[in-house]
Amino acid sequence: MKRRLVTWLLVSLLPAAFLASLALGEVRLPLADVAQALRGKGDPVAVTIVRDFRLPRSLIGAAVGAALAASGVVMQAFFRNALASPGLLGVSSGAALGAVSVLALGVGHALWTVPLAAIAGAFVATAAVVVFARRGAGTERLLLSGVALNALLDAGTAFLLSANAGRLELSGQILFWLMGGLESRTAEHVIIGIPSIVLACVLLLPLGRDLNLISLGEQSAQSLGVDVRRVRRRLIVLSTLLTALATSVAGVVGFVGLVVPHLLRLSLGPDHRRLLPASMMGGAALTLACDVATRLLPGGLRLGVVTALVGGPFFLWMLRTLP
Amino acid sequence: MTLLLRCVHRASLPVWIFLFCALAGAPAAPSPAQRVVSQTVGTDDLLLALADPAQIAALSNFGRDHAFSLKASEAAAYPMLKSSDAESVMRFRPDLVLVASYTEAPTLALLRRAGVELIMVERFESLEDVYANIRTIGAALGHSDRAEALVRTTQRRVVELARTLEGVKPVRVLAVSTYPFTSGLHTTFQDLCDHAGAINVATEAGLVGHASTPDERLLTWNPEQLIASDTEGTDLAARLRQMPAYRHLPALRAGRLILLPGPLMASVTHHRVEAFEALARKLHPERFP
Repeated sequence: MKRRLVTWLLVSLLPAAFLASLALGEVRLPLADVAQALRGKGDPVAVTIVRDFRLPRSLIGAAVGAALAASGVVMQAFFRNALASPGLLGVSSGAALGAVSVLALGVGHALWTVPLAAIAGAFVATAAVVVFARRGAGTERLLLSGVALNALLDAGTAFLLSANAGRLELSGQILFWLMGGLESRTAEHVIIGIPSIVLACVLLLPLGRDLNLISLGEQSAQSLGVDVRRVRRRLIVLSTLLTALATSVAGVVGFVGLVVPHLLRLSLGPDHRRLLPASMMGGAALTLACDVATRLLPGGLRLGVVTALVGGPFFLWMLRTLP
Repeated sequence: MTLLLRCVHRASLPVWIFLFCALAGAPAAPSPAQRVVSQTVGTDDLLLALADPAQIAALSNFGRDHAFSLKASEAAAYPMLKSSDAESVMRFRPDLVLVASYTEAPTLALLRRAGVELIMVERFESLEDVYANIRTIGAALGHSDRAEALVRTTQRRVVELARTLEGVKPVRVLAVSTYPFTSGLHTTFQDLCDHAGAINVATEAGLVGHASTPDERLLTWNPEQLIASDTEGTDLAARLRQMPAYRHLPALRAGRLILLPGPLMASVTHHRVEAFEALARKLHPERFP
C-alpha cells in the first residue's frame, strides 16, 4: 500500500514539478499561456521565455536530477555504504577542474567550451577510476582511490581559484559554477547532456537485479551466477558517466544523489529494480523543485545551495530517526 | 500641349515606381532604441547619462546599491533587474540590451536568440575606451550629440586637470585592501594614477593586472601614500595594521591612507574623471587652493 502510494506520488510529482518549472519564474505565466507558448503561439516574449529559456532549463534540471539520483543509488549499493554519493570517486571534482581550467584560461566565452571541458575533466577522472576497477582493486581500495583523486582534483581547482582571485568577475563565474545552477541553459546544454543521460539511464535500468545481488556482497553475488567483474565495471562506468554529464551541464549539485535514494529506500524497500527508476523520478522532481525555489526565493540562491539546504537537515533527521 | 502632358505623365509613372523602390530599398538609418535594459553597473552610468528617461526600461540588479553605483539614487527612479539572467532581462521586452565582456556566454546566447540587439562593452581600461563606449551607446540611443558633448566635457576636465598638475612631483602610491590584492599595469587604478599625478609602485615593480600583494617585496617598494576604497569601512587603517604585509609600511604607520569612494575608484565610465580629480586633490592639495 505504502509502495503504491509512493509510486503514485512520484508519478504525479514529476510532471507537476516540470510544469511548475515551465510556469514559475520572474515572469508569472498562467498554464494556458505556457501551453500556448510551447506551441509557438501567443505573446512572442512569452514564447521566447518558455521555449528558449525555461524549456531547456526544465529538461536539463530533470535529466540532471535523474542522473545524480541514479548514480547515487549505484554508488550506495556498490560500496554498501550509506554515505556513498555520485561524487565519491572524484568525477564531479574532475568536471569542476575541467570547467574551471577553461574559465581561468579565458576561453570560457564560447558556449560549448565549459560543458565540454567539464566532460573532458570528468572523463579523465572516470578513466582513472576505471583503471583501478579493471586492475581488480577491491571496493575499499577503490573508495580510497576516490578520496585521493578528489583531494588531488580539488587542489587543482583551488589553485586556479586562488591564482585568479584578483579577477573578480572570473572568480565569481568560477564560484557560481562550483555552486551548481540551471539558469541560462541553452539548446547546446540540452544536446550535450540529455541524449547521453537518457541513454545511460536506459542502460542502467536492467542492472537492478545485479545491483540487488552485488549489494549482498561480491562473493554472494558470484555464487549466485553474477559476472561480478563485468557488472562492477559496467556499473562504475555508467554511474560515473551520469555524474560527469550532470555536472558538465549544471555544475556541482550536491545532496540529490545522497538524499533521494535514501528517502525512497525507506519507503520502497531495498529492491533496486524499483529503487532505480523511482530514484530517477524522485531526483528529477527534487532538482526541478529546488530550481523553482532558486527563482522564487530572494537572495540569488544557487541550485547547489538549495539542494544542500533541503538535503542537509533531512539527512540529519534521517540519521537521528534510523535505528 | 495635351499630348505633351500625357507623354510626361506616362513617362513619369515608371520613374515614380523606380524612385519608390529605390527609397524603399535604401538602407534606412537604424531607428534609436526605445526600450533599453542595462545589465551592468557601468552601462547603467552610460545609459543614465545619455538616454531619455523614457528610453530606459531597466537598470542592472546592482544599480541601486550605493556600494557599487555612483548613481544609485538616480537609478532608484527606474525599474531594476532582479538578476542578470536572460529571463530577468526579457521581462522588460527590451529592443536593446547593454552587456559587458564578462556577461556569461549562455546568457548572451539566449538574448541573441531572442532577437534582441546587444551592445557589448568590452574595453574600459583607458579614457579612449570610455569615449568609444560613450559614442557607441549614444549612437544606438539616437543621441550622438549628447555623446559627443559628454566626451568633450570629459576631455576638457582631463586637460584642465593635467594643466593644474603640470610639473608636480608624482607621489608614489599603492592600492591597498584587506583583500590581499593590489592593482598593477592595465587596470583602472593605473589609469587613475596616470591622471592624478601618481606613480603606481606595483606597476613600477612589474605587476600586471590585479595581482596578489607580495608581502616581502612590498617593504622594498616603500609607497608614500596608500589608497583604498571607502567601502572597506572607516576603520580600514586599523585593520590593515593587523596585516603583516602592511603593518611595517611607514606610510601606514604615519596614517598616510587615502580613502576614495568605492564606486568612483571602480568606475569604468566618464565618472572616472571625478576619481582623477578627487585623488589629485588629496595628493597635491597645494595645486587646488
